[in-house]
Amino acid sequence: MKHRLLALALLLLETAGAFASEDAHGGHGDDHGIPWGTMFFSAVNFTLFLLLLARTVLPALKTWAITRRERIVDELQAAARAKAEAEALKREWEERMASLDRELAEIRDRALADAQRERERILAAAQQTAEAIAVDAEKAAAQELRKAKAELREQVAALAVDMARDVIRQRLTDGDQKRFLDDFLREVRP
Amino acid sequence: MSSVARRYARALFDLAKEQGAIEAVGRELLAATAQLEIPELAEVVASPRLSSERRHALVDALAQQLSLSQTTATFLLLLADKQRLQEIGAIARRFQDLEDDALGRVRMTVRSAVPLTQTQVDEVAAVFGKQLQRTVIARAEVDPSLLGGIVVETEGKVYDGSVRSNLERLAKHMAHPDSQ
Repeated sequence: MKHRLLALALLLLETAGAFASEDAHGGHGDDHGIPWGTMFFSAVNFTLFLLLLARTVLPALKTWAITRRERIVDELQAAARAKAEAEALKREWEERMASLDRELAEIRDRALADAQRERERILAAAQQTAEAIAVDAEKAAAQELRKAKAELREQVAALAVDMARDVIRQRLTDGDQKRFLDDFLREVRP
Repeated sequence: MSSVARRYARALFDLAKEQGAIEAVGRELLAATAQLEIPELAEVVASPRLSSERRHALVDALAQQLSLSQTTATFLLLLADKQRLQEIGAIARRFQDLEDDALGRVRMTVRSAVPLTQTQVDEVAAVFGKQLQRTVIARAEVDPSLLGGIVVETEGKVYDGSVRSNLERLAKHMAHPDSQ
């Protein structure tokens, strides 16, 4: 690029030189003709302006254009991805909405089954508890009955012994005492 | 019974045995114990304010009054000097045990609801003496709570033939007919 610009500049300079010499040779004969020299220098100046512009402004414009293009490309790609994701999400939700009724039905069935099982378990536990309470109550009643009978027997026995003691105190004779002694010695004798 | 009483009783018993006077010393010891355990005299003898000489003189007078043998009198004076007169009851009981063992005797308590005649007590002693094959020295006591019959206690055993215990067994059987 640099070489081409340089060649173009040299060509213009050579052409400008030719026009300048021609203008010098023919200037005396045609004072009202085309001012080739002035045009030539103007052309050279314009050319140098273009070269300067090309060396300084053009690269910056080119870089800006490239960067902008890349950003636009990235944004387009991101937009494409976002669109694809949105479409995928839309499809997923459509599928989920389609299966929602079925899932709700399954959840309701499971809940009903769980409730039924829990009800049966509670009823069985209550039945066992009731049976255990009944058995305990029977045992307690039997125990109380045995205890009451024992207490009654003890009271009757104590009363009978008290009565017997009173009778013995009143009616025991010396003969009875001697008989007790004889009976005792008879048992002790080897 | 303290070990001190055991040692004193053993010493006196061995001495009496050497002298062939076990029973005599035993009787004297019981007589002296009966006097020394009278509360008023026991209080005087045990008093720390009583001087050694006065205590000695007191025991000497007691020995003379009871006509104690030299062995018994000396023993009591020794107890007075050692301030062990308050142990006399335990010593006498231990001496009696040793005496009974040495002479093949056994002591027995016969409790009855009404007083027994001496003949009945002797009969009981004879029956148990024959069974134990030892000479029985019986002591009778009256315990109206027995209602009738007798209770014999000897060598740590109780032979209960009282009406009271029979009634108690009957009451127990009536209250608990299933248990034996």
